[in-house]
Amino acid sequence: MSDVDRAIEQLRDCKLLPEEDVQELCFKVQEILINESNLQLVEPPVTICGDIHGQFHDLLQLFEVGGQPPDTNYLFLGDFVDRGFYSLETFLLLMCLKIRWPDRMTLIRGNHESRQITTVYGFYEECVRKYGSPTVWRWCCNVFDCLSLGALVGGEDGVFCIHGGLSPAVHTIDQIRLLDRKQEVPHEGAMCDLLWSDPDDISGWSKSPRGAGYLFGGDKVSEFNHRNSVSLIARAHQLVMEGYKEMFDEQIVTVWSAPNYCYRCGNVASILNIGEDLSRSYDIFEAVLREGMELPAKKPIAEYFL
Amino acid sequence: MSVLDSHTIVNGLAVYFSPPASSDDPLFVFIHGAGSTVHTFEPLLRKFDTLSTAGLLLYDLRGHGQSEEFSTSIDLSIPSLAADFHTVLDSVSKEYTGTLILVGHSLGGAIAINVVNDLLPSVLGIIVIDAIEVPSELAHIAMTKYLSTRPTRFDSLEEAIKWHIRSGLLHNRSSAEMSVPSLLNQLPSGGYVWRTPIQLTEKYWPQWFNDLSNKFLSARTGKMLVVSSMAKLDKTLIIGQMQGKYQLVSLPHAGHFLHEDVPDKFVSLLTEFYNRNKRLVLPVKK
Repeated sequence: MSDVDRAIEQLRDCKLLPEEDVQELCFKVQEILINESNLQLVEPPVTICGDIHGQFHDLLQLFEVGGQPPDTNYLFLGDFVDRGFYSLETFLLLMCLKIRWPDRMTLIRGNHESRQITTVYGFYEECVRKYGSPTVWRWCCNVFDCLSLGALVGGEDGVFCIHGGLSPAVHTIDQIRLLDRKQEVPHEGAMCDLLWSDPDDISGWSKSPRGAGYLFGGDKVSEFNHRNSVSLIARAHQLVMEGYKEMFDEQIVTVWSAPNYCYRCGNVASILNIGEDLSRSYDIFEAVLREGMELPAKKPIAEYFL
Repeated sequence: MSVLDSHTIVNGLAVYFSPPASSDDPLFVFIHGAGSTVHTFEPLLRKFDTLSTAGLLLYDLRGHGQSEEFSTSIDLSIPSLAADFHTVLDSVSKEYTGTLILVGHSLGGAIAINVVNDLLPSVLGIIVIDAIEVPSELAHIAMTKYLSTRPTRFDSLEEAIKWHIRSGLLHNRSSAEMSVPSLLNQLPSGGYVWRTPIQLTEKYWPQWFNDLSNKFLSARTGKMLVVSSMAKLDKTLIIGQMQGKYQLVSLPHAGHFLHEDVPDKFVSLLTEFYNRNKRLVLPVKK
């Protein structure tokens, strides 16, 4: 049994690894990721998963539903960390699976795989709480910088996979291949937009209310898909109460894989199975409660709100 | 010279105004919370260099600051507060032609949320500071608890400033020196009492922050919510945030008066928000 198999076994029990093992894992996975292109080519069949956000127990449930790696070929659309209480276990497990079966596990970057966002939304604090210092967080952030920006499933008429969406600065998929991705997610520009943008019922482009990225309309989706010979854009980034949502004549889909987001949103989650013939099917799953799982404390009443 | 140096009285309300430098410049309208005054925004206005050409409009809410006193009862219902907002804005309507940005703290945030859809299309955005929905049944408990813990009288302004810092209400001493004196009236005996008898507005507390999350999300303009703790977000706001409906900023080292605690940070947020929302410029096609 290899070290990484042992690490996978331990993480599946929701037990953390010693700090030095984490360092080694981060180095190993970086070596693999850095050699991947900005846009990974993935052969179908593949199961596409959306945001996980540190909901480790729900990730285990996802594997129950979708099949255990490496039996199922997985593509994760980013946002592995933040918000949930088990971002470390989640990201470490995904890293181990990537190291163990690099060709059966594709990980691309979400807007939460960033230094700035993780310091606000929980991952940084979790690292400090669980390891006593920000060292592990720093190693993980270096891994984030190596993650691919997107993936392309199948050849002609395939599926373009990205965390957020389109960018007015990106007309062709080849333009994504030319980006310098090995950096913190910038505040604007193509790389930022790909990780931050959302489809919306508008025509053309509009600034995103999120404070980064754009809103793009169905016309932009049609243009992009036609120009780049893809039949579908699969993206995550937006909570969908029903788990997934197809828009604009099924030319784009949002896949959301964090059930009962933040332990209180009451939504279901989904994964998207792309068949060998590029057919689509969705599996829906709900949040699980497991023994020993930490849950959020009851919200305190505001003491003053003048 | 600061916009807060002088005011005019409009319908009993103290209005502080300086027009935008040109018709391209925005007008920022700042609305303070219950029990507060325009001086809560003084620390950030002193750092407003990056937006020096913007117009500024502030006013003391009815019964607050330099606005007319009330003795026994006051109508602080949301409809009346919204009507006051429109009265104030109308009073300067001839002196600006550009766009508006509303900035409201706490109850002021609730007022901004309630009027924003009346101002389309001239409003570019709304920035809400720590105004979070409170279920009506909890509002009364929380308010009563707060009012029961605050002193009714201070011997000196220094004592009042110290109390604000010690109680955790304010975290920035130099900001407190600017805002706290305006909250108090001096007694002939020399002591200080609260300028605004908030306890007389009890019957309005439940409506101030009721159903605020949905109303905020349905504002048809740019939206930024600035909070001191992410734990304050309710389910509606979490879902809205994760669906990309507004920009969320959390400043965990600040308290309820974020704009007083970290005024520099706040001005850079306002600048960024304005620059981002002012117009859509697409990247040049290559």
